Amino acid sequence: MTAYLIRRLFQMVIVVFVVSLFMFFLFNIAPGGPLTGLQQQQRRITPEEKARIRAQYELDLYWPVRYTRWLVGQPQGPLVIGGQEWFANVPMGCYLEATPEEGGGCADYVYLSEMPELHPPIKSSRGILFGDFGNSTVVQAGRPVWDLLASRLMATVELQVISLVLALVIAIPLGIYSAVNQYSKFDYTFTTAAFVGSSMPTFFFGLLFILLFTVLAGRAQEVWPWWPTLPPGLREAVRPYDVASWLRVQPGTPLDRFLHLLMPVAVLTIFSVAAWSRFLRSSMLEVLRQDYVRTARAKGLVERLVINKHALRNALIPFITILVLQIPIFFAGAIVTETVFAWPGMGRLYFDALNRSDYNIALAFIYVTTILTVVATLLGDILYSVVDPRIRY
Amino acid sequence: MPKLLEVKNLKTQFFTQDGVVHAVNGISYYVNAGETVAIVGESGSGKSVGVMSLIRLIPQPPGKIVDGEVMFDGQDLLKLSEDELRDIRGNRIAMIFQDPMTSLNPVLTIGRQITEALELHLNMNKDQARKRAVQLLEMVGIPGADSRLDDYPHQFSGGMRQRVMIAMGLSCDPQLLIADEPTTALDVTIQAQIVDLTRRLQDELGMAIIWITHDLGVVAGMADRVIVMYSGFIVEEGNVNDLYGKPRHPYTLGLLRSIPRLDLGRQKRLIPIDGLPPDLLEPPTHCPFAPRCSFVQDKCWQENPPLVEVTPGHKAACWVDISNVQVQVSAKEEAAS
Ligand SMILES: Nc1ncnc2c1ncn2[C@@H]1O[C@H](COP(=O)(O)OP(=O)(O)O)[C@@H](O)[C@H]1O
Ligand code: SF4
Ligand SMILES: [Mg+2]
Repeated sequence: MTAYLIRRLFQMVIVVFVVSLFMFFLFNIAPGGPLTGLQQQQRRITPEEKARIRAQYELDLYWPVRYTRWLVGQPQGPLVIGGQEWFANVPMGCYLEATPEEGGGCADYVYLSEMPELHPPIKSSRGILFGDFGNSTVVQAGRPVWDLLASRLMATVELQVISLVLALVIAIPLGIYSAVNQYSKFDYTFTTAAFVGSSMPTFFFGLLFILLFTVLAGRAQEVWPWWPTLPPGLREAVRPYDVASWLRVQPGTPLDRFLHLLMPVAVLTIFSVAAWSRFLRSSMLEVLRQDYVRTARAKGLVERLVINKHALRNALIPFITILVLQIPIFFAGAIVTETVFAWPGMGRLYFDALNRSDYNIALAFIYVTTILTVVATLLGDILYSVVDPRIRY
Repeated sequence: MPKLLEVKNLKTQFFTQDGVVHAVNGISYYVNAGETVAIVGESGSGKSVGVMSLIRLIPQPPGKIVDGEVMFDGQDLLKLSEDELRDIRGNRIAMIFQDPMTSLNPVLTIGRQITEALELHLNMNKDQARKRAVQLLEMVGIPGADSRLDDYPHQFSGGMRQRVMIAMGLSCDPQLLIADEPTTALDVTIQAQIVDLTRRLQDELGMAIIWITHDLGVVAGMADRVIVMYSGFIVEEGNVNDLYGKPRHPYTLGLLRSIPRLDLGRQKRLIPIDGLPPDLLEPPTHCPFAPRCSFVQDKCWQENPPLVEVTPGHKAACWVDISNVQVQVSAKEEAAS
């Protein structure tokens, strides 16, 4: 087991490293970035101005150099060994590109010896390996990314935990009941509904709910006075609002927060219930066909015990994978749903960061999500060996 | 001898998308207390469905027992409620299955799986059940029984697992043990051990056994009577000597000739039965064996022969009396060798 764990940890480190390198490279070649906006605003931007702005975001450095600075905060200047500077004249980037008339190439290199002056470490990060994700460049320019992530985390966790618990409580009995009563009317209704539910794009239910409970709620109330108007976005209101003619809600109260949670939680829950209960149903059907279930029946056990003791345990084992993969989602959030409901969580932050090319945020987001995913996978494998005695490492 | 089990006109069908599978087509037989009855036939002939129907273990739907009676100790098992039947399952009628690899629950210890039935049927508490489980494992010859109770099925070899299944089956001292091809998945030496073990245990405990196999060779030394099934019908039934010595159905003859025999010399090859097993979706109005039978006559294509007594205690379902033909065959074989 120890040898296995060490091997796995080693693999995990490599995976995270490769993913971060790959993402960094992709962001490097992706169009956009801080300059695009500027170029659109002021058509005539001089090469010097452009170079200055590029330098401000460290874009004058070559991307592998930026990567190592992002990862470990190095290089920050020439290597000093025994009072002697090494590699001082190695170019780390290009401050000013030469025009075609000048023959292309670089007009003004950034040399290693100039780094402390041109790019003091305070401007970038000390390296994510040391827990520093750098600062946001666009979304909230200058604010440490860590700080920004932390401020969004609770909103996402709240949404995810509530819908996870709800989805589990609904999906497990539903999937099992449907499998045990295969071919029944309930089963047919359920499978159809779950199929529809899991094949709709996530924003469909989000927009549908907003339409029903916000946009058209006023009209609905003319016919059914009990029809509620629900707040379509954010985590809490800024001013008092009416859910129904007889119910005024004050911002920031528990009721206000509850009402704001309703629609996004419903959307996430519907989606998970549809997917998970289908999964559980087929897993349970598979197990119910097994010989050992027949053995249990041949012993004379009541059906309830056959299902709960012999079948369910086996049927839940593959579900572990799905469950542990919720862990990174606790952090990453649901990008589409959070965006639809303007939920101030991680998913929406990531969406904004991508949209506005705030790469420090996007990279930090991907980096943490990757780590959580590999950790969750390991955790899943360990859990497998706990619940399934056949699996030993 | 009193009849422990009497099956009358049992019919089981599966209602599938492709049509109705006529798995068991009205079979009748009996088992006396303490007796061993073997059911033989190719795979797909309805042996498993036939015996699982006895304690209603077939999956319903799609399966359905459409007709028949299963008299066990004076009551019709097919008419009992689920609760009443559960008192019999695993208690008075126990069953062990073909594949010991898959018939035990992989995530529960052997101990749990054995004590379960003891606690349920004999109302033992955990300690008593555990003590009894150790005895049972010792009885079926599992070394170190006490420590092995906490092991999981995958920690046992195939033969040992089948021993565990037997221990589980015998745990409540059943009157009838149904063994559905218990040795098919095992290699030959282990097969012999399991057969010996079962015979020894039967001598000790006195239960009746229905032993299913598709191999007449395994049965020879163990069964009192043999039932031959084909296409969901019983085509021949008799005691071992009659059936092996004077088979009266061409299918039985075919099965007997497909047993490899050491005494027949090297050049004598195994003679497989030609042709494919029947299509159970179409219940035949003729003899189901007719397409593969070398004795087939016009009448065989017109009517399905009923199972009738040919000599006392020996029944066969065939229009043709093959007892003479068979002598000729053997004579020819002898002449040839
Ligand atoms: N669950 C089922 N659904 C449909 N057909 C089945 C089912 N179980 C068994 N059968 C059919 O019943 C027939 C008899 O099967 P079985 O009794 O298992 O044969 P045997 O035990 O003699 O090998 C086979 O044709 C098989 O396809
Ligand atoms: S009835 Fe006819 S076809 Fe059927 S087994 Fe006898 S001889 Fe063969
Ligand atoms: Mg079978």
